[in-house]
Amino acid sequence: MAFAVHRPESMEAVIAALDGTASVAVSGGTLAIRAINEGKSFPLAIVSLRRAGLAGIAQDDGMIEIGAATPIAELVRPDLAFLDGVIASFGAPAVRNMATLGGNLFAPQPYGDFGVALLALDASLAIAGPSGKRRLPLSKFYETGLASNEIVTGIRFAPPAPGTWRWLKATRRALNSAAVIAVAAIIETDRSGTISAVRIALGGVDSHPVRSPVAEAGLLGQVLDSASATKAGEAAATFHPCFTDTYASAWYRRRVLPVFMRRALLGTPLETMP
Amino acid sequence: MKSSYVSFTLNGEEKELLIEPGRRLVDVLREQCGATGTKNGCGQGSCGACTVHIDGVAMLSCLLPAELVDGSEIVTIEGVVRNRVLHVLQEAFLAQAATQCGFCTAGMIMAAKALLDCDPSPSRQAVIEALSGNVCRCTGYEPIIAAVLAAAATLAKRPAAAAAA
Ligand SMILES: Cc1cc2nc3c(=O)[nH]c(=O)nc-3n(C[C@H](O)[C@H](O)[C@H](O)COP(=O)(O)OP(=O)(O)OC[C@H]3O[C@@H](n4cnc5c(N)ncnc54)[C@H](O)[C@@H]3O)c2cc1C
Ligand code: FES
Ligand code: FES
Repeated sequence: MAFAVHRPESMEAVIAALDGTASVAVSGGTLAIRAINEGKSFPLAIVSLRRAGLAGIAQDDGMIEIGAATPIAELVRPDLAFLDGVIASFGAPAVRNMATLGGNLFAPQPYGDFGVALLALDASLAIAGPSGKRRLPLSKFYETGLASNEIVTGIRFAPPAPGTWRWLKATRRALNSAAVIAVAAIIETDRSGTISAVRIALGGVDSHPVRSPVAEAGLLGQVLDSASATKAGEAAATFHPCFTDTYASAWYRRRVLPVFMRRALLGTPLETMP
Repeated sequence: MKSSYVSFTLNGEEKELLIEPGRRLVDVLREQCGATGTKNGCGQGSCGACTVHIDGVAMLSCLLPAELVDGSEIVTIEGVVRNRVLHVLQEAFLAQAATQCGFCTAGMIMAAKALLDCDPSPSRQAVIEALSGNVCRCTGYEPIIAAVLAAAATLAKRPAAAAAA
């Protein structure tokens, strides 16, 4: 166990408290404390984000800004109803009460379901550190990470237009199971059914949640149907490395990706799935 | 490595305890408060045996450094018994043989109580979802699901008991 547990009451105090060797930020603690319990992490100090005023959900200019330390369970609300499917596929109730949205961005694959969803939403992060505040697109964050002693303070995105959001997670068990494959997408079609704009993000295919440029390029300008969706999934299965872990082999992930891409994009109700 | 004082209410009783840094709430409850109903299972958040209510919300006490619950109201399985009378859920677990070795039972009941506190007449699917973070290696789950549904049915017939539960 750690030698000190700090509970700073502001963002500035969090950053100051992190400015020491071998201290770790703990938000919900579902990964960080678990790693300590398992003897995989030995921080000298724990810096809790719980009391630093980093939780809460605000709307302005049509954008939604969610504090990094907001528990997943608090995302269950009418203006975020499109996220209900992500929440339902995430952990179990007590985990959702503790785990936070910001912590999810640091979750190793195949965790990181909200990272996948937020990539499809083209979210950006508010970051604070010893040298001040900055914003960073989530996609960049996955490439560069944070500088030392920086923390994510908030996550910002535009809510999807009605009918454009897609989410589907392939799992080993019906409930409380990490992703074999996770698909999040925003897909807009014009009157003729042709895809006019599309963003697709995937989990279970790389070392962190990723956008799928090949799937997006394959779909843009096409009519959204079973064939085009499957083809985009096949392209993604060839393009992304996929990986083997205790949940699934890389081969299996490649095999189910086109199927789940199709089901996600067409929004096929579960009971009629082929 | 400096210990610190942490205070909280445990099942309605004020506690002030000297805690080693980062000591897990589950260990504090069991070893410093004698509340051994809460079980230490996996220490990974995966089994739910350590489920307690913190300010009315079900949480996993194996993933909580005790300093973080300073000032909170904690309810454990010991706290659901009122005046030496078992809770409706506990009676139902007994009646339905929903407990065998009993290791999962406290966590199961705390998870089920969190459900009934906000949804007093849940569907079978809602019960399954509410218990999806709690592992039982004995019963095969069916008796547990039946017990929670039976407890909900009992509470529905006794509105006064539901309010007090
Ligand atoms: C039983 C169980 C089931 C789970 N199921 C799922 C699932 O279905 N899907 C899923 O995606 N995940 C799942 N998880 C993993 C985990 O709960 C989530 O990923 C969760 O969102 C992590 O958030 P946290 O707040 O608990 O992170 P913490 O454990 O607090 O932190 C994780 C890491 O991120 C860093 N960190 C946290 N917040 C910040 C911040 N604001 N700024 C900088 N660094 C930060 C910490 O230093 C730490 O290294 C599960 C975990 C368990 C135990
Ligand atoms: S002991 Fe806490 S979840 Fe298993
Ligand atoms: S009764 Fe033995 S683990 Fe559930």
